[in-house]
Amino acid sequence: MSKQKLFATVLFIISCAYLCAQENHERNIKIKEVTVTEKVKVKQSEVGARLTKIENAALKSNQTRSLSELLTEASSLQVKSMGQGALSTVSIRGASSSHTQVLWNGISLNSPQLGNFDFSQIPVYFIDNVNLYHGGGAQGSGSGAIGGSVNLANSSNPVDNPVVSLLSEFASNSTYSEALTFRASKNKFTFSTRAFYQQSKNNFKFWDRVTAKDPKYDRRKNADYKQAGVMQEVYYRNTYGDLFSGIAWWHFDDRSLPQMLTVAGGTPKEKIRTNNFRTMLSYDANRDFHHLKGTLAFLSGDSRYTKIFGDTTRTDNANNSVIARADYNFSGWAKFPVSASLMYRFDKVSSNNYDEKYKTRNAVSLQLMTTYRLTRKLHFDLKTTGEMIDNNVYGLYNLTGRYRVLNEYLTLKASSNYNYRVPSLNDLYWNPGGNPDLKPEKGFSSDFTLLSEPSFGNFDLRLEATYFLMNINNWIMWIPKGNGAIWEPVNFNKVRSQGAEVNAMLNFHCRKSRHSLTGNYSFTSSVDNSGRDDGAIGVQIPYIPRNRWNAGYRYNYSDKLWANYLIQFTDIRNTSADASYQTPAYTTHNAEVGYNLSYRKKVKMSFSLKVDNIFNAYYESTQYYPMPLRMFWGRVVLTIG
Amino acid sequence: MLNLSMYRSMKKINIFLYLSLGLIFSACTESTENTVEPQTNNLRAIVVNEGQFGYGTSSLTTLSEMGNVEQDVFRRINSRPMGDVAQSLTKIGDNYYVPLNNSKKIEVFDAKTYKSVETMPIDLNVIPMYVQHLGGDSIAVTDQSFSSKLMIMDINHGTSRKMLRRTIDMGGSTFQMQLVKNKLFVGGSTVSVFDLGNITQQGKRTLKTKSGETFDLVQFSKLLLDKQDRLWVFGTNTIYCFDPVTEQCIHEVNVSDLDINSWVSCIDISPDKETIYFNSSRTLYSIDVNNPQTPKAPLMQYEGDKQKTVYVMSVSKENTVFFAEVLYGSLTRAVISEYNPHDGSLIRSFKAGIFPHYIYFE
Repeated sequence: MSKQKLFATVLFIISCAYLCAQENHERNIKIKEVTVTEKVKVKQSEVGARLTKIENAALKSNQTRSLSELLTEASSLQVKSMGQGALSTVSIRGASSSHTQVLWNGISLNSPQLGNFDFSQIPVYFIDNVNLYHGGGAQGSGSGAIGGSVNLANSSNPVDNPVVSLLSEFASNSTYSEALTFRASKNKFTFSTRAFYQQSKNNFKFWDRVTAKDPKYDRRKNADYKQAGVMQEVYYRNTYGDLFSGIAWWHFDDRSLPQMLTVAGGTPKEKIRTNNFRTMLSYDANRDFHHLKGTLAFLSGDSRYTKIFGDTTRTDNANNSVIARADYNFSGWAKFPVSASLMYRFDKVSSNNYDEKYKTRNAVSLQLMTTYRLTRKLHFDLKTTGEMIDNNVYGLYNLTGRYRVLNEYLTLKASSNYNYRVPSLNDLYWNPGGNPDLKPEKGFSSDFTLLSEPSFGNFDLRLEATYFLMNINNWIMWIPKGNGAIWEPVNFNKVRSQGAEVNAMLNFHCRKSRHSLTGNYSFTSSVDNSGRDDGAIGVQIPYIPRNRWNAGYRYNYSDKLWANYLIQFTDIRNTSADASYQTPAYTTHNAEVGYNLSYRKKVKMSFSLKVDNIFNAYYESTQYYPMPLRMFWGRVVLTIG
Repeated sequence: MLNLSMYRSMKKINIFLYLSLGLIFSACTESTENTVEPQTNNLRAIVVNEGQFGYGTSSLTTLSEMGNVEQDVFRRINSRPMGDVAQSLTKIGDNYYVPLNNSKKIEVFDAKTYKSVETMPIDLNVIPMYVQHLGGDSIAVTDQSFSSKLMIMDINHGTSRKMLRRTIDMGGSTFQMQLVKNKLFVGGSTVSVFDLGNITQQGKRTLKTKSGETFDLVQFSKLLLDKQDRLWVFGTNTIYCFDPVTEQCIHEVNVSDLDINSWVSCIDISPDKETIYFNSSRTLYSIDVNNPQTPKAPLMQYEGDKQKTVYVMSVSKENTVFFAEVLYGSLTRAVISEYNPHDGSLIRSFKAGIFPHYIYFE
């Protein structure tokens, strides 16, 4: 890179870093040939935040998998899954799955009805960037992200020539995936269409040591699923560099719900069908020191649960949300950039189990943010948010700092924040049991991070280590009420969570070969701090492993041949609050090998073979819900353009 | 271009990488379960613990005459979980029978070794609760469903004969049973009665109060026999005594002022079958079967953790009373306390499993 380009890059970063209200906001048309490297990019939202960016290689390798499978493989977050294609939730730093916010281009996708998010319903194919914010203070994550947030984004990057890509994948247990992408840019417009279909009998083999007297191999029943989705994106960038975006995304999911293994007798046929339609319009303008972004989103989802066991039982739910958001940023004061975000959200949820036909929620939030650049090396960032939800006013704050001690060799980061989560509409209004007197869950957390990103010749190292401490009060749990016949949610628990997260990456190259070693480790001590005499005080809370790590090696030769090997370990997890019952630790090994062929640079074919769980480990992500033994995935991708 | 020293470095790194991977592979081991010898000699009680619904944490806790407590006996001996939401335990011949309602099965295991004999799956949309031996190879199994079925099953283990013989529609939920005078009494939303030789839909009758009305029972309550083989049942406001031969109500003891909880209050009888005990949370009342009257004062009461709920009360063969207390919402082991009902003194406390639902005394 020439000096001029480097200079231009640095100038660009300094002037624009604060303008990015979205983590994945891209405004590179004027200097699109410049590659903005991670080492110099310090966005306002990242001043002191603990951030994990999922590598592109991991995204590509897991294109046909769900977001939960991607996060299991490429992060140290705690993923709890009931099996392939089945309900999967994610918790961060020992918080609950409801404390993880999922944002799609800055818009929260968490169900207003349930509070949490099912990570099995997002195929990675529809996502271009995944950033994980650990802790409750990430910009734009808003309230609810007590544990952290998972930020999904689509890329508005133009392409030089139209590109068509076709993907076919065949896998064990009658699993088939087909996907199509078309992307083209013309006259300042960029169009992208993606379609995805997957179906699986999912009747995988497992070692049954639960149902009967003598252990035996068995096949999973009633676990079949199919899903389909289409996403249409349109981007228009005018001569000023303003970006108009329109995205529409429909996703359909139809799956059977298998029973836990301890059920020996007659089992009902349970199914759930969901439809999700998400649309978003945004306008992103930049004038001198002013940056303005407006977003309007509409999220609509419905689900039908059916249980057939003699009689047929049905439960219908529907969610509709409208979100309007404006982000303004002023960077005229070089040392003191400021920004503000105003958001309105309206949720309407219909359910058979509400007294009234539907319930609504109105939320308005105003976030003010400023960064103070005390010196070139020392930055502070303060965010305060006021939120009014159905006439109740709440506030949260986040204070972070970043000190670059020794160039790229050592950077210190710290953050302190207060966040909260208001009860979900089911918590408040479900009949029977809903409790309208619930208080919001409150989370106080702080963390301290050491970051080192040195380069030595052909070697690039990135090492990040964090200590965190978090206290969550008013934790909502559903417990039996009075005589035990009806369950109701109450503010029941206090949890104290502390631990460490380590993320390491070493990239090195040798002639045409590129090697990459990655590792993620988390130690989480998340214990009951409620003070009740029930044998649970000081005990690790259920389903949070103390230790979880994964390590991977990726090899690439001349962009033609590649291979991955990944190991992941999940420690013993308690399934009762006093650690009387546990589900065992497990280690799985996955490997992938692939080869790219190209014809006249316009036509490319990619072949890959992946093996999951190479050593046939029996394991459960959720107790008594077995996961597949060894699985093979064969993929062919044809790209023209 | 790389020079020679860099190539050597790369080679060393590769060796290190392979060694690391090799070590990680070799670290993978399969966990093994500990096994124990069952506590069958001097066995005093077996506590049947429901576990948390949907978690498969049902268990058995044994208590010996010396006070030794063993947890999770079934799982530790059979190296597998017993199932989800165990309800009761019945001894028939040399085997114990434990229905598990969310597993839709009955686990059968040897009463001496606790080794699994058979798993009896129930392929119906039912919630199996209690087992009653009807004689020979037949058992009756109750069902907690709102439109429950009484299941007549075959226990001729090891044969290919169909286990489920027939079902009888019972209307509301059904719980405990009692066999007396060649009749089967089935407690539940009402008390139904069958002649033993005619347990059929047509043969079903219902017990009624003195005024000729049907009545609700306290959930899960036992049907008790006194020393004269009269049947005592725990209505939500009244304790009734029936003549099992005539099926007529003999006594009605009004307990409506005693704060009976229709979900967790329990009833039991002394070993000499002359005193009925029942509780309202931590307060124990008694009724003399020879002179049944509404108790004027509690027999005993004790202080306890007010956050907890008394989930089960049961009377032992030694005429002591066991109270099991649980903390709703907390997936932790419950505490069982044994009291002398006459002076209210605490004899012992021990931990059982999660949500103890039934205590069987050997």
